[in-house]
Amino acid sequence: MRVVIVGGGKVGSNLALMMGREGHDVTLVEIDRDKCTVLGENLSDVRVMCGDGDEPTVLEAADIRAADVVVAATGDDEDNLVVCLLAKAEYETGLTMARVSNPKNEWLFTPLFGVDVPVSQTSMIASLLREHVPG
Amino acid sequence: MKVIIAGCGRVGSLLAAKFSAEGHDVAIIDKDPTAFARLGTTFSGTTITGIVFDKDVLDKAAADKADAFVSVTSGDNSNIVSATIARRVYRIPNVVARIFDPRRADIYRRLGIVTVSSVSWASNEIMSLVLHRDLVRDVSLGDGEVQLVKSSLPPRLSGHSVRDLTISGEVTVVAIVRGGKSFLPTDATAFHDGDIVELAVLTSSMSRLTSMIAP
Repeated sequence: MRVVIVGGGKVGSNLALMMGREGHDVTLVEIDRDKCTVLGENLSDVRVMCGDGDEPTVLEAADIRAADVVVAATGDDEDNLVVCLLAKAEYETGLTMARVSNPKNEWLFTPLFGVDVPVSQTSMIASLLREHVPG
Repeated sequence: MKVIIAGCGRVGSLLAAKFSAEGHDVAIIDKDPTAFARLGTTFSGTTITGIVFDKDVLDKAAADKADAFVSVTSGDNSNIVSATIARRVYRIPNVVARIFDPRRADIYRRLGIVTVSSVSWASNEIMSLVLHRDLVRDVSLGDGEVQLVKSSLPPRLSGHSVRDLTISGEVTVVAIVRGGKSFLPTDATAFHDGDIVELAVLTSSMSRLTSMIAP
């Protein structure tokens, strides 16, 4: 599977590490040059690209057109929304996943912005709570 | 008209003051409350502190009743997100977003968001001001890709026809002003001494036009 991950923080880099180890073709896009250097040294199974993942030129260089999945994993909700919007509308990505940082913004993580799967820690904890705490 | 402006920077505050002065009902949003100081004392609209794509903030601005929404924050992504919500969720009929990055502006235009790319526009304007001072610019269209310019006819072109000053797809003679009266010429119309020529020209072809009308 070809995966493009935007955002090389803890979430994005660890996801890239895991997917890379499992043999998937992973490209990780990170905007911070210093972070890119560190990521490049540590993630041997992953292609690390330095650039703004909201830039069409950067996404194209990351070969987004060939991606099966695009994961928007930055810590900025609006950046993640724009990644998915571009992925879906411009590059017709099959599956898009986006990290939600502020639960208040979760209502936007829908097909309106090209998001197939929103991932919100708060909602996940809430549903687990409901499962584990009766009544 | 009820107008919502997202972002109270230099452009946002000026727009707010102008709409307000013309009697429109303005609500302006910024995440930094000190930004509203730019509005001055005469501004009579509403100021709302908050994130421009926050549902509570947009509800407070009565986005469901707005006639127009303008997003001019300093971030392209905030502008795109808020403009998309304004158009698709609140169904505001007239939505305009300022986008710095020209490449992205084109993409969002295709997605149905009216965008103004200030970077393209300003660089086109400055290029023509620096390189083509002899041409008086009347109007620039879109992001400045096409301009309407006027020039007095160089004497050596007197007796030539409009055809000689036309480059198909690049330079078109739109009108001639002769003796204070204007008319639309045909290809065969001959220029007279003293004519003022109105031309529509691609900004990228401005240099070719300049060399054609050089005295």
